[in-house]
Amino acid sequence: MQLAQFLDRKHVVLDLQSQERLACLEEILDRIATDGYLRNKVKALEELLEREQLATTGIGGGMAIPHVFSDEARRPLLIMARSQDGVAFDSLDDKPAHLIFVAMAPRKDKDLFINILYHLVRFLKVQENFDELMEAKDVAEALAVIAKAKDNLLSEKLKRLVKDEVQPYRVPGTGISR
Amino acid sequence: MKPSSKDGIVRSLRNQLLGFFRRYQLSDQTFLIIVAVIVGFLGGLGSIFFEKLIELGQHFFFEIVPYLVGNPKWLIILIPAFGAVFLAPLIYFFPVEAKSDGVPATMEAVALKGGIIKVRTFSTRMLASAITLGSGGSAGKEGPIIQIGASIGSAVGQFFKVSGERMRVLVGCGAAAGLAAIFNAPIAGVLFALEVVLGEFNLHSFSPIVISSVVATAVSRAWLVEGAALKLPPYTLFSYWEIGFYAILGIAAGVISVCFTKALHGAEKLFHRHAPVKTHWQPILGGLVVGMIGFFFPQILGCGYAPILEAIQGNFMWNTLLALLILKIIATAFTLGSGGSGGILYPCLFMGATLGGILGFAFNLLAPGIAPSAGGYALVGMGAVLGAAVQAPMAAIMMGFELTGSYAVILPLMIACVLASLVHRRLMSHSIYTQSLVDRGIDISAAREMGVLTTLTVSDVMSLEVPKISSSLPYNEVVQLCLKGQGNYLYTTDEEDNLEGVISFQDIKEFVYDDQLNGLVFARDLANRDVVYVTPDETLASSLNKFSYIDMEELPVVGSDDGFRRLLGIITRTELMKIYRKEMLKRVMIES
Repeated sequence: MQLAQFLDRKHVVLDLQSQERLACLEEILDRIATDGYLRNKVKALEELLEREQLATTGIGGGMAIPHVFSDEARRPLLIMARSQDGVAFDSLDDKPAHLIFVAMAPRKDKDLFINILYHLVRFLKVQENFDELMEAKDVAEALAVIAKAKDNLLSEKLKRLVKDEVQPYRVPGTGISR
Repeated sequence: MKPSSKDGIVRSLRNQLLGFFRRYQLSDQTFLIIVAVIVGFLGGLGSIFFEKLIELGQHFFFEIVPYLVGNPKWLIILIPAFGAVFLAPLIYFFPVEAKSDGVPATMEAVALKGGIIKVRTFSTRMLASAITLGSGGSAGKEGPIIQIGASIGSAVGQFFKVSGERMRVLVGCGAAAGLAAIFNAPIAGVLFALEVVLGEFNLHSFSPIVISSVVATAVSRAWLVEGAALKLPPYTLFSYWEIGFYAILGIAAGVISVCFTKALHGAEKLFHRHAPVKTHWQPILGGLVVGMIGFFFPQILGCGYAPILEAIQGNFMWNTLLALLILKIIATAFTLGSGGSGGILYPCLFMGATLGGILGFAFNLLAPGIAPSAGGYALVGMGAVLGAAVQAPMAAIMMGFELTGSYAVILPLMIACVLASLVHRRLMSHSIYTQSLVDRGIDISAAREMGVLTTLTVSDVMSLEVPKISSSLPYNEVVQLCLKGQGNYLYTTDEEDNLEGVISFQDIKEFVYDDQLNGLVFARDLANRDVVYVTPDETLASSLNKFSYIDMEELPVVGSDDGFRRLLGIITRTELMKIYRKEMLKRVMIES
């Protein structure tokens, strides 16, 4: 199980307009497709904002990872947003965030989720990856960069735990499983 | 509204009594002793009433009914079956209370149900036993009276709203009172209650049980018609060489007790699996078998002490004794196995007396100079078979001693009872009582071990040092605490100290040496929210249960009143097991 598996191509926003932290979250959720991954986008946004109020998720280095455990998410998922101008994220290094990865997961997938966050941060902190994502021309290119993250997210313990729980997700009404 | 006014009376009586106890600031022990007097008194009355009820049954079945049909000789064959017809509705409506043998049911209530016995048990059991025994069923009145006494004890306990250990003591008081009153043997009653019903000896329960036993005996001696209780002739040991013969008697008694136990449970299974009629009609079949045996040997009918006395006095020849011994086993197995209601103490005494009579004859032939009379052997045999079958040699020894009133009997009784118990234990691992519990899948000794854990609560064991952290602690600090802390868990709490979740070191050890997650993840994100917890007043038994289904070494203790989950402490599996072993050791030391 790799990072790319949690990022759907409909969940990539490459031209984020908002320049402010909370407003950008609203824009991101607004712009992604309404599909089976999230039960209720409005509630999911509320939860994200609530979490953001506790402490900023702008970890510096031009990136932010707003995340929350939310039962609005049917499975662990990532949403990628890119802002060329940068969003004021109250980051730890006071610099604007350019890559914003929203992460959500139901609480039962806690261990997997922490793993996703861990590997995501590790991946983005590699300057080369960061730059390639900033330069990606379209969604397909951005996804290709993410697909470079080959680390298996499932440790031995998680493999045992998750085996039965994270089934390939079936998009409602389409018969397509991911 | 009648019921509510009755409830009101009960409540005001209880409040007045409890107010009285409080006013004089009685200690726990004093309170128990006062209540034990009440239980003993009611137990004594209960046993008199029960005795009268059986007499009434006997009068009806053996005098009125024969008189009505013109006294034909063959009628005796039908009487036990006729009595069983009256049992059918009782078994049909109250299958559990009417059928189950009283002593195992009481043991089960003490070990598994905190001593709670339904009041209905008392009346159903009394009626069913009076019918079975009154109509000549081959069983004893001691088992039922023990259960009746125990349910009186339990009812009194429930009235005063006692629970836990004190409730068990009161049930023991009732059982002792019943047996003491009906046998006129207070010491045996005490020992039986401790050895069999409670399964433990300790000083805390000893005094109330003694008091209750004494009061019950006094009540029954005052009111019961003289001679109703078994009174044995005094006994003398002729030669110390006789001890050897008594040892042989003991071994034989052990074998007979095993035969009886197997026959009884065999008959139960036979009726359970192969009976051609429904459960509530089965006693009629059993009654027919008993009636046919009774036609030739009327001695085996009912629960009168006369045949035992005759055996002791040497009024039977050895071949009659042998026939009586075998037929009594069969008749009792059929009476009780088919669903009749009664105890096994009296049949054990009967078998012991006949066995002793037979062996006494044999020893007399072999060595007339050493064993001049068979009576003593019949007497000792009674105690031996009883002690072996119920696996309570102490109670049996004291019973023999009390019934004869002569100290000389104690030596032969001790050797025979202990040997018989050992032989029984060697041949089968359960007593006649525990076997019927085992048949139903209850292991009473395991239940008693569990009892240790039900008497202690979490607050006795919990540790107040909890590694707790605020839910909003950042990742790095959580990791630092995990590395520094001694335990494997950190508990996260909100601002008001309420438990939110638990972080297991196992869960985060993969990223411990990396700080990628810093600033992103807080304690609350790492914590498992589905925390299994215990409360301070929960028993250790229930905690052990929780430990067994979750894979954690410790459980948080949470005061869960008024909707909050305030974190108070933790209880560890190791500590729980340590306390458990200590308590078990204490009990073993007291018992030995």
